[in-house]
Amino acid sequence: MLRSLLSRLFATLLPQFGERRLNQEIEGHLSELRARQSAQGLGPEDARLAARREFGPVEPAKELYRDHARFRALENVFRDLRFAIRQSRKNPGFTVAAVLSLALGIGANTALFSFVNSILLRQLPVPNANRLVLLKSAREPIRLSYDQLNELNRQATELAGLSGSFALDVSANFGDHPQWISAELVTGQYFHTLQIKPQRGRLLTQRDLDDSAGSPVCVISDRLWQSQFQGAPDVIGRSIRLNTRPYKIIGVAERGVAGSDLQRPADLQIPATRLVDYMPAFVGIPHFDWKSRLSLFASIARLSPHASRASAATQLTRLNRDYLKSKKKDKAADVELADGSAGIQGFWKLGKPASILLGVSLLVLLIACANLATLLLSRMSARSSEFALRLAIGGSRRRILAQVLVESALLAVFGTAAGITVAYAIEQVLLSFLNRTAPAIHQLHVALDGNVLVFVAAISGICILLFGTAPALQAARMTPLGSSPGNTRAGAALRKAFVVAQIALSFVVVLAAGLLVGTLRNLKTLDLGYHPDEIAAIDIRPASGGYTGAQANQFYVRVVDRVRTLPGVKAAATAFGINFAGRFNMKLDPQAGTGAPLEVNMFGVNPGYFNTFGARILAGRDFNASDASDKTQSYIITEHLAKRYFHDRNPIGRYLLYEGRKLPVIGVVSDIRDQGPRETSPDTVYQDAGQLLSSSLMVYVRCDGPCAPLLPTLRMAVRNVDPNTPILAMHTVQTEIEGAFSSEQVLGLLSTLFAVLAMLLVAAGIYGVLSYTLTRRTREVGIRIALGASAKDIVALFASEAAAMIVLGTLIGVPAALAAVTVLKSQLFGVPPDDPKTLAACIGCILAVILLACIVPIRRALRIAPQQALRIE
Amino acid sequence: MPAGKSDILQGTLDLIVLKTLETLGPLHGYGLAVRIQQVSDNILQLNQGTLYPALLRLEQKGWITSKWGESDNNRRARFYSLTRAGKKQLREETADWERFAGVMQRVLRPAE
Repeated sequence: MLRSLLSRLFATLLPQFGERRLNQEIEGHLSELRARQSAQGLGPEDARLAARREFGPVEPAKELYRDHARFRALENVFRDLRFAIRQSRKNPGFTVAAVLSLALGIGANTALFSFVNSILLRQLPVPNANRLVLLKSAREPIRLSYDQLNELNRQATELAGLSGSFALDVSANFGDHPQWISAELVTGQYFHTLQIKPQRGRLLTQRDLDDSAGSPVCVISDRLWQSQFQGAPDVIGRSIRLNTRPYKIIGVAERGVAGSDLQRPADLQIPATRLVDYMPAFVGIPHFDWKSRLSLFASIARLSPHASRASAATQLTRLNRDYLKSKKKDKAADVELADGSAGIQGFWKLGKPASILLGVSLLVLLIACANLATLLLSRMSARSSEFALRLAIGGSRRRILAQVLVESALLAVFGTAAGITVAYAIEQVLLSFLNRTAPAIHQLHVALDGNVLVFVAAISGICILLFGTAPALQAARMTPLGSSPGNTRAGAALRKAFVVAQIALSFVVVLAAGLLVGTLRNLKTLDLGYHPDEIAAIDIRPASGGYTGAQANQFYVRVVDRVRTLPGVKAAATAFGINFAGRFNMKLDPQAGTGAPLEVNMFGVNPGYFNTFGARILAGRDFNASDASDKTQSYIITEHLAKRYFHDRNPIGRYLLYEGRKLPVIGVVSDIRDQGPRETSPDTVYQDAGQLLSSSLMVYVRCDGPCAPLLPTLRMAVRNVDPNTPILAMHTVQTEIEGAFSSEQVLGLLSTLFAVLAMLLVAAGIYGVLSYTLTRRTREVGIRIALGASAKDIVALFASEAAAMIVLGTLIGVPAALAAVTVLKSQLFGVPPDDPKTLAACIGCILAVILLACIVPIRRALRIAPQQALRIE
Repeated sequence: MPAGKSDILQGTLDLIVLKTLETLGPLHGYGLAVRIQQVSDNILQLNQGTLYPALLRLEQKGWITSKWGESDNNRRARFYSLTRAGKKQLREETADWERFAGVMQRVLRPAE
């Protein structure tokens, strides 16, 4: 009955009201009985006793009353909680240490899980997202051409839709000044495949793609509709200018939908057939059919209701091979289909680093729990007399068990609460670090959603199990005589096992940190061949100002000429490469009779580039303005490549062999790592960018000294060239490079933090166990000293105990660590996962910390005075 | 225990309390104890303290209500009275009890 439930709950929380009523009633009853007895002639004392006799036992009656009035089990929990809080106040050092280590462990895990959750575990907000698949080849996403996509889509019966999209930033004019919008060029099947519905108007179909030449149309997101059009109902049919060209809005997509890449929300879908508005280099080139030549589109498909991933992949592989054969291309890799429910993941590549860090932080949390378990076990032993007393005077074993569990739970609750704060802080720091170089429209966002809350709850529950079980079992085995000798021995063994586990786990954490820090150091100290802080990189796209074809190149020339005149600027040039992603790999065929194909980088640059990056022309010449219009293409190679490919012969006038063509070499430059430090190969082939088709180049500016102070001046100068063509991003190359390896920095930084934390915990663990042993054996040590034991004997007594744990921990930990770090392989640079130096340093580090932790209790043992030791107890 | 006295049968205290309240109207705990002992001619051994948990239970079930009042001796006391639900419960339990008592009688004295 609800009313009685509520009244019982009320009485449980505020027992004083019910108690007062009970006492008044019983007191009144007794006084009536006394009055009657007095009336019958008894004296006051006799009357009182007679009344008590007639009433019966008072306290049992009250207890029975309380059983009905309140929830006794709940009441006991409250009582245990109050006791636990008093206990923790009495021992603040222990409480703070326990809560802090839990908070750091839980906080780090929660923060990293929220990244993993946002990056890897989210689903596209579309119906049946689990039927979506990504097209891959050799585990890498493949990009297909427009014609290829449409042809495959037409023939693939195993698919309910195959669509392509290409993410790009467009400049849109809503008011007086242009601003950047994150957009996608999409094929006609895009909305059909993803099954996105319109909120207003309609969405793009193949017909819109086919008709796009005359009157271009686009679809906007709910977010853009709200922010730029204030949700105006008449938005359909309005015109917006994208890269200066008018587009008609035909629809608003469902709320919550933001393109096909969750990490890069897109607010605008544009027909792929309007490509040339954004890549004007392809305008006016006769016979260049971009629809079949440009493998541009990231592909996502939806399986037919009856199809399986395997059957669809088989069919696609066959159709793709047929298609390519019809285009006279015989190289066709097998098509693989991967889970596409999380959409295209082309932008942030943080999934793997975040998972690695989550793994490491889980290990740290395990260590923290093992550490806490040893501490609690020691405390259990110290409190065994308290529990024995409670059992002896009739306290139930269950209540003691409940008490121990409540104490563990209290620690976990405080740890979790503090951990959430820590998680928030870590998240903010990581986000601001990762977003440093990202343009405002592409900031990484991490959401705290239901998944994260479930994770926090689960992880603190697991913590309670991990560190609360052992003390609880210990409590369950208590006897009124204190813990039995067998129990004590089992407890000691358990404590040692926990310490061994901590040591073993810490090897994994510390070795991982060592490798990741080594990677970061290698990246930072690598000689790039230039000073990255003295070069600025300006990302500006002429298409956003409406320039097409040759005008676009003219625009770049104007920008470079304008910038060169600025005081403090030494050189400027344009080249490929946006965020160091503009490189291509190509395989040079071997020279006649020599070796295997050579994998090299391919990079398009304009005249003046080498001078800007401080690379010297060692032989031949730089590109010049006339090369761009020249029919015969010309190439410049790095010194390193020249030696590898031509050996001792002079490369000038000779040819690189590539897919049956002969590429003439006109110059050799000194080696520079202009692709950032990650690029291991200094073998680069440079081609005149003017001969390549590219619509967006980077403007590189070398300053006289550090560039950062000059950035505002540069910005003004570039804006003055054409205020309608906005800068997308501008940083020093230093910042660009750092942005390109943010994940390595985060890995190095956080793993170091985790390693330090792990070693502190291990030190605390072994210190705790040894001090506990010392406390228990103080008398023994005192007697031994009194009988003439030398300092060496005393040290040996403890050292043997510590050594057993350390040796066992190392024997388990080192192989485990070596096995575990193989997952890091793809993240490492310049260090192999089994690098002996790093391993040695890691073992040395852990052993040093452990030995330090051992010294303190052992020194205390040596100082024990026999007199004092014997007086203990 | 003196001969001729017996403990109140498990579960019958509720019925006795309800019946007494129906007969006499609102009563406080002491009054109930006195009345029960009078009616039973002191045969029933009532542990008076157990009356209070029983009253609480009945109140939680909604069969009786209570409020503070003045006793005959000008003492503040809690008076219990039967609710409508309590009256219904009393009718049902009385019927049950009579049926049960009848059966017991037939079982114990089959000859009569």
